[in-house]
Amino acid sequence: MQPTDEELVTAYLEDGDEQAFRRLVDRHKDRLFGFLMGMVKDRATANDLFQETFLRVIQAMQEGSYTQQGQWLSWVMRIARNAAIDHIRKQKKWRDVSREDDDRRSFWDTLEAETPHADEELHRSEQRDWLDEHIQELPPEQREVLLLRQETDLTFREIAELTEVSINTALGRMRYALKNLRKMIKKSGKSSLAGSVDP
Amino acid sequence: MDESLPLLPYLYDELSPDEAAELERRLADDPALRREYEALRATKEHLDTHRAAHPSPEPDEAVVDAVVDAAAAAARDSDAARTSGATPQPASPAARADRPPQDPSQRSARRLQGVSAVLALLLVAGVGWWQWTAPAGPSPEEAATPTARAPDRATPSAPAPDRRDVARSARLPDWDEGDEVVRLHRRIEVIESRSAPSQWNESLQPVRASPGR
Repeated sequence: MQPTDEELVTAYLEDGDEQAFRRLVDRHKDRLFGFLMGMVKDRATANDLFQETFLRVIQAMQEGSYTQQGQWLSWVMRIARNAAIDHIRKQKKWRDVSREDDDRRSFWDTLEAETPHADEELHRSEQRDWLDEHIQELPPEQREVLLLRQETDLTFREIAELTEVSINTALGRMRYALKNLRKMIKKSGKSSLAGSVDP
Repeated sequence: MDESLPLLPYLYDELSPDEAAELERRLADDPALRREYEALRATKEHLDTHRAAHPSPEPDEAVVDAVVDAAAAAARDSDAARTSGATPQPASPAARADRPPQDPSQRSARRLQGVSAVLALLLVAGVGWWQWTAPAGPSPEEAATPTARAPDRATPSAPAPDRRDVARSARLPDWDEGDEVVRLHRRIEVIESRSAPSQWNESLQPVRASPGR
């Protein structure tokens, strides 16, 4: 039987069991990183924010600031969200000055297309980029709820607590996010990717 | 409340069985609600399919290792601080809640530690005082030497320092407190004081011309 998050937290804090902490990270790293990637759209930045998040988490845990028994992931997600928002605010200042960094693909990224499965990878990459671009076009509050629900599997109630809004507001934002995304899919003519987009 | 809002918790399987059954009845009775549900479901399916085909990228392994290393280091630091009792270390909520009552023997041991520290301090002070006042020379000038040196140390940047002080400090670095060096230093000072350096600028008298000889 898998130990719960809370059991791993206790093993780390009371016994200094670093393997317990590694299991916590391994268990949730994909969700957390997926959320951060969705928020900042840059792998290097997401890695930085991932590390910054866990450094804050470690410090807060050692200081005894973690008091939400049974809600470790939600607590970590709140710290990650704050880190991402801080970053986006700083970026916004730069974006006001220049928007020339839209194409973030480096020279080395372009070389990846030369691999044996280049066509297949390129096709997948295009599809991923295409949907990610549409998600990025959503209003920030809708995008955030969508990413939190799809990438991190938090419940709507947990998302409402995390984003400090009512449950109805969180649900309303999600509904508009899905509706807007559907419109974009229809407009782009790639409805075959969505199956039966039209009801 | 908007009647369509429960569609989302239903879509993401967050409703209780009773709530889900109630919503399904409404969906069967309300074509407009059914249409909205189908539209939301299709978009969610699209996202799920996309997610399955393109799993979330993982963070770099080096970043994960760095995070775990930081956690291990923090745990070690916390453990060391707790063991030494140097600083009060905040404990986890669970640890605080489950902390056992302190052993009385630990309390008495802590008191003994305090008494030992005071005794050690007194011992060091006593030894220092004894070294300071140990007989190092026959004249009273020698006994006054430490008090004469003190201002030199306290005001190293005093204007126009005495040449003798400069020479003395050059011979005896501040950090060298060895007993032998201190004794030698005091002897040198006694010799200097006896040789009356204030008269060095006077014309020298040949020894053989001295009337006392």
